[in-house]
Amino acid sequence: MRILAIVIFGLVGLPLSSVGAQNTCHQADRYSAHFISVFKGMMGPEDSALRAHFTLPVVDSALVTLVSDPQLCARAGHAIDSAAYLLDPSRPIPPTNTNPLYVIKIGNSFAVADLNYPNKNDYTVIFVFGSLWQFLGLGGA
Amino acid sequence: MTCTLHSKPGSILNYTGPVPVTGHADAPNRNPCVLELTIQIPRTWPSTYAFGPCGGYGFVDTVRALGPVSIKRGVMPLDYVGECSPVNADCHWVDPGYQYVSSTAIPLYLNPTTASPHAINFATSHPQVRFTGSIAPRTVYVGGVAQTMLMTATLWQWIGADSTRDYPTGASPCQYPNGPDWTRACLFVPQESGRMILKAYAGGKTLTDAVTVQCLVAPADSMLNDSTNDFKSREELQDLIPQSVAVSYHELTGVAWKLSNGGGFNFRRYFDPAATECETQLPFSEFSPSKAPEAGATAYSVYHDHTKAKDQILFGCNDTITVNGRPMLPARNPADVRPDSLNAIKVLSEAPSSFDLDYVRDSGKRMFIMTSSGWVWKIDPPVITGASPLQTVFRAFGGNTDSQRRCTWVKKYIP
Repeated sequence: MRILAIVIFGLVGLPLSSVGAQNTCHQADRYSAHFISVFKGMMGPEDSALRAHFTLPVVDSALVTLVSDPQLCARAGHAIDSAAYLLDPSRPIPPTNTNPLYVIKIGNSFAVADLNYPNKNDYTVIFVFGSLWQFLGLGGA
Repeated sequence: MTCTLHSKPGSILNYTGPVPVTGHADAPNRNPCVLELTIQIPRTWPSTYAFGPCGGYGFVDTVRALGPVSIKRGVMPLDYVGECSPVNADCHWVDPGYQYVSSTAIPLYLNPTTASPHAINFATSHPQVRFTGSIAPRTVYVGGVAQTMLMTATLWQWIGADSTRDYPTGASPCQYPNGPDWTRACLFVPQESGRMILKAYAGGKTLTDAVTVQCLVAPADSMLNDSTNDFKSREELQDLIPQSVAVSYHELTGVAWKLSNGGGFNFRRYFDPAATECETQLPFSEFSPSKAPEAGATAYSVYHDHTKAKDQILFGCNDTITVNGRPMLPARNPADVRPDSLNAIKVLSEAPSSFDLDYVRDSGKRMFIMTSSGWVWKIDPPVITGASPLQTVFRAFGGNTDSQRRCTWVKKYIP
């Protein structure tokens, strides 16, 4: 029974734990409130074209939340790294890290922002993913 | 004007005694000594003009002279029998044609046009507004004689701020009372915020001035509600967007200074050579007292614009963006297909960015952000990590509701 439990844990955890350090979830703060506000503000009829660009459905405001699930945040770290690689395969793969990420759940979709590096732009780059973590586009907020 | 009188040979040049003149008649409304003079002033308005007093030093009129002023001598009086040689029926004549005389524009100017009331909540009421224009100086000495200066209002025109309800008004329904004087008024009932434009003739030239009537913002802000300076802060903020568009959407920034003498606010732009459509950097040194426009002025706020609206694409962000340890450079323009470009970054929000909030936190300065879709964000310090920042948003233009449209901020007027 003990052996069986170890095997099951290993299979489930393999995709995330086998890559070493993993990104974590950022706690709620004014930045997360800003990001949540941004996506809540995209649910009106006047923003249908913008939602369509990201294949985002109309969801109730209550379904736009900050993710605190470590596994989802670790997955988000892999997803933005994969997307960044997709956009620029020539760049060397950076070492893994445990930087906290802002992961916003929008219905079944996700938005991920990384504020761990200096950025003086008026916009934070936000990666938008579908429910299966497929890359849907980049936003600035 | 100098008219030269010529005599034909045989004329009696030294005629003694009175010479009765027959057939002479001055035109109506002219001075008796005019002797059929006709003044010619190229002009468009008004249709009447007159000579000054006979023998006077000068005459002040409100006509608009569009070219050289000339005077034409009329016909000579009929000769008196015995004055001239019997063989000549007309023994005197003057040079034909026009003779040019000097005219001088008097350096008058319009005082700032006033509106009472100056601020109205057009969403709920539409009271009559009294607009008043006046000239200065009111008296000018011409040849040692005091002359009262006059202005004539030729146009009172109301232009609504949202450009959907223009009310060009002729002089008669608005001007009160009619006729020239040193001050003129217009009584009008605007239905929305806007600007009343006054054009007037005074001192021989056309003068133009304007005044706005606008809604106050709530919650109140002393800079945005500065009616003393005719809401110049709103013009400055709204002017950022078209000026940014003219420089490839680069953000523009500046400092609003509050003057110590109650004179309102003064705006100083800062030229950021590294500005992009994604950022501009205003050094903290720009609001140090040494940069004040006058002694005692204090930096009330900083301001800049967000030049791209929601759903538009950001280009030209020069700073490197690091994503999970991987540096990337955003696209510089629509044709930028570099492999490391983060192309097609869609604007999700024009609201204050993380960096904007950090700037207010670090500088302790109030910040205004003008967005291209017509919102103005205000961030008040202090911004404390872990606490919700105090942000207020105002609708400058582009409103969707009737109330918002009626209270549209008035943009800068370029006559």
